Amino acid sequence: MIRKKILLLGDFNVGKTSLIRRYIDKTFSEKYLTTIGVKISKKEIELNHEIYEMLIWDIEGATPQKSIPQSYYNGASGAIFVADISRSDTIEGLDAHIQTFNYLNPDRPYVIAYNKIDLLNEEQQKELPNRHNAFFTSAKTDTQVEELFTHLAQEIFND
Amino acid sequence: MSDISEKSELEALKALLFEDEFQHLEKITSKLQTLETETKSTDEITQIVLKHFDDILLKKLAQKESKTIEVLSQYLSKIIAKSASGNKLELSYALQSTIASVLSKEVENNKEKMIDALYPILGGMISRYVAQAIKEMMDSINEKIEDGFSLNKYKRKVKAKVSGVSETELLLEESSDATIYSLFVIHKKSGLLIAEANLENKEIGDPHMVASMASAIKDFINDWIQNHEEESSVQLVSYGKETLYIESAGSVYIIAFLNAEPDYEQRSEINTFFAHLVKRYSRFFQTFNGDDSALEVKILSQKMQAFIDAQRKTSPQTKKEKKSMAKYLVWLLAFGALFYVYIQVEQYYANYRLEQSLLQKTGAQIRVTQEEDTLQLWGELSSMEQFYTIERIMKGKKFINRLEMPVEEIDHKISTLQKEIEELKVLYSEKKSIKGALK
Repeated sequence: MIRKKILLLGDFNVGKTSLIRRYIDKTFSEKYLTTIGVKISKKEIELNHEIYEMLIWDIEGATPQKSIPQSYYNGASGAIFVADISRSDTIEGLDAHIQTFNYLNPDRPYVIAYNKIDLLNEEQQKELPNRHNAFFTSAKTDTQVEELFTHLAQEIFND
Repeated sequence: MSDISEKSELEALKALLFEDEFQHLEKITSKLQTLETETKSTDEITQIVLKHFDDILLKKLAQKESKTIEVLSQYLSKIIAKSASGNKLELSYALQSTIASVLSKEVENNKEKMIDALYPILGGMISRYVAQAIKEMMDSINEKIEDGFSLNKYKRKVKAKVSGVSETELLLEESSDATIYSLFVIHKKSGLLIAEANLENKEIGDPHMVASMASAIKDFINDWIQNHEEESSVQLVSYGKETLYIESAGSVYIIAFLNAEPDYEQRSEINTFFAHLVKRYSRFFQTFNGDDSALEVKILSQKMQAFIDAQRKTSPQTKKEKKSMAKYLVWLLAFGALFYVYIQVEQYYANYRLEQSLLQKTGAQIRVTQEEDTLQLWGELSSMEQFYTIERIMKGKKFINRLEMPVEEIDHKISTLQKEIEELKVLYSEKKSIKGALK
């Protein structure tokens, strides 16, 4: 079986762990529990009749005071960058994460998750930015979570 | 009629003169009525007081009013007891954060009091654990010390002299007897598990997750260390009785899962084995793409399994067996040595008895030694008689005469011999002349 390391990056409290929980356990909790260090989860995925495994490194949210150790980025085959759609600072913070990832893992695919889409009304949703490989997700309402991970897996394993 | 009109005029005048007063009177009457209703209704009073209750209570408590505190304290314990008998979970949630902060504050402010309170419980518990651990360690050390004929004992003594490490420390190190129950080879960059091997029934559940997590921990610690020191990396991670020994090289690192801290010898064995793997599979390691179905992974796993299984042959049990073998061998050697000493002593006494016999019979101080199976006699003789006596005593024995003969005796013997020769010569010539005459 082929296994790959995938990173889940973004600022604190954007819903990274909730996305993982929704994708793997199909559950959601309103309770916020901050991730300390790294939490690793695995998920098997079938693509073109082949079984692959993703080892997803859910890395604790970065803050201005605390950066992510560079060694965590090493050897990743892909990444999911998560922002909270209701917090502009988390969207602005994405570029820094993407830049570091691209520098340490050139030419590796990545996707962006604008999470907590359920917090916006229909009018606000129409005004959302359109970005390459971006998904408007909600772990709470299970919106586009499966699509987000599957899309990245296809880009990694079909490469 | 006039009375009526007068009255109405008076009323009108009153109304004109006391308009404000009347309005005020009406307001007061209305307020009085409201108050009357409120003071009669308990619910109304409660509603009014409740709005201000918290503020009043807080104010009273802030002023440390003894009466309020006394009243509250009477009921507080009852309230908690009642809650505890009802929904314990809810009460524990409610008190969780408070208790934690109260405890930390109490420890900070009244350290000694807290120690006094906790020591009788925790102290005893800790003492028992420590005593048990020390007992186990001492048993292990005693076993090693009592093993008086073990070659390891002397090996350890030499090692202590050479390395400068005390024998006790070496004994402590030996007492670890760590066993490797799992071995992982992990891709350094990605943290992906390349190959694993485990002792039978000691398989690690979800090894790929464990490998990634171990990798993350290692990365985290290394990252922290590199901020403080240069050229360092984590090598030993311990939790409870389990120990992870990490050795890193090139694009991979190896993790040995042990049940105790490995000693120098074990570390060295792991490192040698790992160096062999790195040398043999470096190209494969560098290009590893997460595919564990590769042939190299299978061969690698087999080699690792063989390494793990081989330690069973040198496991503490086998070590004991080996030690017993060595013990028997040493006993055998000791018996051999004793037998040799016995032979030597026996020989010494035989020679001593011979010396005494020679002294008794010749009066000469003769020393007897032995070379292989031949006796050698050393000493000085004063007469030829002694020599002949000795020759008689030694008859039938294989010996070399290294005795010093007296010069006069030899000279006398030579002159006697010369005389005898001369006499023989004369006899011979006489015989010859007789024979010639007869012819």
